Amino acid sequence: MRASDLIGRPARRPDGTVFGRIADVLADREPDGTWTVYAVLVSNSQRLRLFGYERPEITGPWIIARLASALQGPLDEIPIADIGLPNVI
Amino acid sequence: MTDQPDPLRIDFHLLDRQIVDAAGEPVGKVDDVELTLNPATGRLQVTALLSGQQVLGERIGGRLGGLLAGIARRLHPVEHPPPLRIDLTHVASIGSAVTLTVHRDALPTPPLERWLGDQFIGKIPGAGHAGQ
Repeated sequence: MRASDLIGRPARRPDGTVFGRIADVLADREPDGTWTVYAVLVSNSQRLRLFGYERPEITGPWIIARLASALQGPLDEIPIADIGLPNVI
Repeated sequence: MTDQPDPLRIDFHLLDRQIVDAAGEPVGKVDDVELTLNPATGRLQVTALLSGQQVLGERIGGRLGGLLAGIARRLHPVEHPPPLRIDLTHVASIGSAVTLTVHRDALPTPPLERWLGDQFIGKIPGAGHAGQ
């Protein structure tokens, strides 16, 4: 499976209902050095490429952060277990 | 990896970033990322970076993506060429570029680069003496 099988695709619940589009895939580093996918960022915006200002550690310049937020719209972090994965694995 | 973002955002931190080898020489771009379902845990793991014109074309999709992938297939001697796959264990750091722990000589040459070398660069007089 490739990241492009998720990013930009409709976000579906395991029952198949669509509730947005997947804007990014988040992975955590495990103690053994591997990276495990734990969540996806889901947006209802047509613009799916994120500006990076949605990251909590990025705080400014505030006017650009506001503009990016307005263009991007709200993002929801959804656990990967709550997403119906495409049948390409 | 010694220097990496946490959490890792695949689109933001990896896709379209330049890949450089241990000596800083360009290797390619991150055109897609391989995710593998771990049978032991049942969870998806990020396992490799994928690079190459065909991978990019497949990611873009549509007519432009089909054209890119088609050209890449045409240039490659194998009918269904595998992408340049770089295991994530070979990644040293992720920043404005993705830096590898290995040298580019250890990786297969991308088909477009090989074709350009065979058809044009290699035919320039003196091309075989680049080191001099």
